[in-house]
Amino acid sequence: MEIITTSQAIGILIGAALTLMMYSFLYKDNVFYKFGEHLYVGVSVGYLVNIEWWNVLYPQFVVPFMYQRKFLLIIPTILGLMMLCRFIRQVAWLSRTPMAFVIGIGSGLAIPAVLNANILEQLHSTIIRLWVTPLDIDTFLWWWDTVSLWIVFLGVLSVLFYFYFSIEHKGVVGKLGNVGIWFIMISFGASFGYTVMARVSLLIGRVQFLVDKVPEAFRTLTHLGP
Amino acid sequence: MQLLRKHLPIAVAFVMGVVMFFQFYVPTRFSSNFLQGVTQWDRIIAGFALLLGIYSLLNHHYHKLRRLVPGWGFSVVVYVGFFAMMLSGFIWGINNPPPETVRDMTGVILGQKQTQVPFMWIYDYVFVPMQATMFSILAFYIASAAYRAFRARTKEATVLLITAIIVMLGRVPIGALLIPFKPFHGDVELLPWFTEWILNNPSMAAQRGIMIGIGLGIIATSLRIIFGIERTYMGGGD
Amino acid sequence: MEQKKNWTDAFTSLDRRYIFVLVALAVIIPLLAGLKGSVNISPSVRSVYDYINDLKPGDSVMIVLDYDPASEAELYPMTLALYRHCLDRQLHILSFTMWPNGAALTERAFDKMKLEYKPKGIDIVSGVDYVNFGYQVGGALVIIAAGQDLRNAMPTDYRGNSTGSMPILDGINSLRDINYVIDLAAGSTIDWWVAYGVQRYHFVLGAGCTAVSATQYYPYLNTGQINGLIGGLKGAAEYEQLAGHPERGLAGMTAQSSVHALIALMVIVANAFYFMSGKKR
Repeated sequence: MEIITTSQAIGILIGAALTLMMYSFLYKDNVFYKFGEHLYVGVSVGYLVNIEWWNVLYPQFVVPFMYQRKFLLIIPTILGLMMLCRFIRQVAWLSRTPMAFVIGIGSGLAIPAVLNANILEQLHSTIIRLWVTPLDIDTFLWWWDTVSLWIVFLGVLSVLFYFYFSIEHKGVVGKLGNVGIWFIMISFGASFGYTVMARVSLLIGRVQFLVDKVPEAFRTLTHLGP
Repeated sequence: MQLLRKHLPIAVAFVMGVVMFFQFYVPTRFSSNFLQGVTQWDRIIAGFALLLGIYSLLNHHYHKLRRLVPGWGFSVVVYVGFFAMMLSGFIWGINNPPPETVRDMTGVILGQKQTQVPFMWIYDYVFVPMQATMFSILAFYIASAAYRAFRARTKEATVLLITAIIVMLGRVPIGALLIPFKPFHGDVELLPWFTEWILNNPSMAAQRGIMIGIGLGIIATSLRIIFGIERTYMGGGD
Repeated sequence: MEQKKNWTDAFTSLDRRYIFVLVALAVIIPLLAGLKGSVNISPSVRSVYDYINDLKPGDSVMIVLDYDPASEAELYPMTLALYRHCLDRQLHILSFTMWPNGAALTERAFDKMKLEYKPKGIDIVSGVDYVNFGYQVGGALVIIAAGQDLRNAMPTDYRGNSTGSMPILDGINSLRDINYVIDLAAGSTIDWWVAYGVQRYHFVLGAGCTAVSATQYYPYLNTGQINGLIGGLKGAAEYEQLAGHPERGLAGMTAQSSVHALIALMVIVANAFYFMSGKKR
């Protein structure tokens, strides 16, 4: 059984108070919400500084440079420091080279990766299978699944035609594009339904914290837990 | 000076872009070691980029304090939170000690307790509740928007609405209770079954089309960056 | 006619704070009542569960926590359900995050597992049973670096211990040697894992995501680039049910049902009023 310490119980009550302060914004903007918002900003920056040192600079630079003697890493370190010059107007141009280095690498890596994963594989999957195998399953199910495969094929084709703006949308192209709109509406409707679900889940998470943890914290404090 | 300010960055982007593109298709040990080295360098540079955001935020609030603009008191709160979190991590560390077993006077085990370092205490009871709450407020706004603004003004909007309602109800247990019929002699009720079919077929088809379009856009933008046509990453000026 | 039009307008332009109260009640009442139910298991969640279930004790699973406290309500229950399943199956867990705000969440999840499994006589030891590499900067570059050489990509764990001689990494040189990788993502990191990970290094990838982004990953599920998808709190609830560890996910389903029903009803009613006022015009 997990036992909550006194400091944790106090922390839970502080967390609950901050939660309610943030929710006060639903009534209207007020000083409690602003206080919470600014406290969050300050705490998050302090957190980032710690993570930056313990999880980034120390293992990526200090350990290889000082203990593994990889002295060549001084070059990317200098490039990284040059990037910080972005805020000093007189030498802001120094940040362009490291930025170009990072962006150039990203662009070069992206082309084959995206081409394979997001284009070729997707197209392959769309056209490789237009009827269901094996053929000896229930007849109605076979028809339903085969029609589904053709719906997918038609959907991908029509959506691609809808987004192709280099030619005028008239005749066959126009009609196919209009079919694409229906598929997009279905997809956006599904996305909206899922978005509602996601946001409500976040609210449920907070209410679970208030409903489950706060009484536990009160019990710990009134019995003066360990 | 033009060489360093303008031409060198464009040349660097071109060289690195072309090299990393061809690296994917060269299956040698040298190519693999080269990739490893480049990614290590790039990650170190990216690590410094995080400091940009930190500096920017603190600088903004520093100027508010210096000029004593209305609301400067809240900037004090920012700095108090910043120093409290930063110093707690550097002084006491960021890792909790191992859990301890709690026993009563007779030695019977009552349970396990986890003591926390100040850094994790502030993270658990200040940072997490506030960030989670800020985003959970969206639940109220999405409900309000759905009621006040979501209207079936056109046929397309009607289809969007109906699909949204089907997915909203099909993805939760209540959907199974609304229409108890199970299609194709399966073990899933109609609404959840139909929701899965929508997500795996027409919705997936549209998302695939969008994904292909985005993929083509990424390739086009990457080529523009490599060839120096797209230079917005260099910032303003010459 | 004018009176009826005002009546429908009054309803359709209701002060949003009344709606906020209704939503709050729809969440609070089921949670206070402690109502619990079961959920239908979708094939995409079952795929992830079955794959982990088929692994042998001692196999390694990499669970990447690419989220921060903003998405904690959906993805943290998923994380705990996966951790529990892996520990029950005696699998080794390797974790890290590419979101800086998620680093402490990863450590917190492992602390919770230590607390839970200690009374069962199971001591979960860092470096032996699990390893938390913490925050890894670089996005897609982390995936490429880990695919080339895992120890080089992650030279220390979250606590600063060297990964060079950790027992858990015996026989693991890169992502290719990991039996299963699962990315729990609040953003678009699943796209990176597919494009830069699966395509290059050909390992098996599963995914968990917030409900907001779930629809965009179905194409990957269809092609087999991901072998399963756990979507949102419902997905977490399904996994908890499968793994036999009901917790926050399942507990939240009744509240989820009531709010969804409320919102669906509100949309239908609002549109009914809209059509009524529109027809009279």
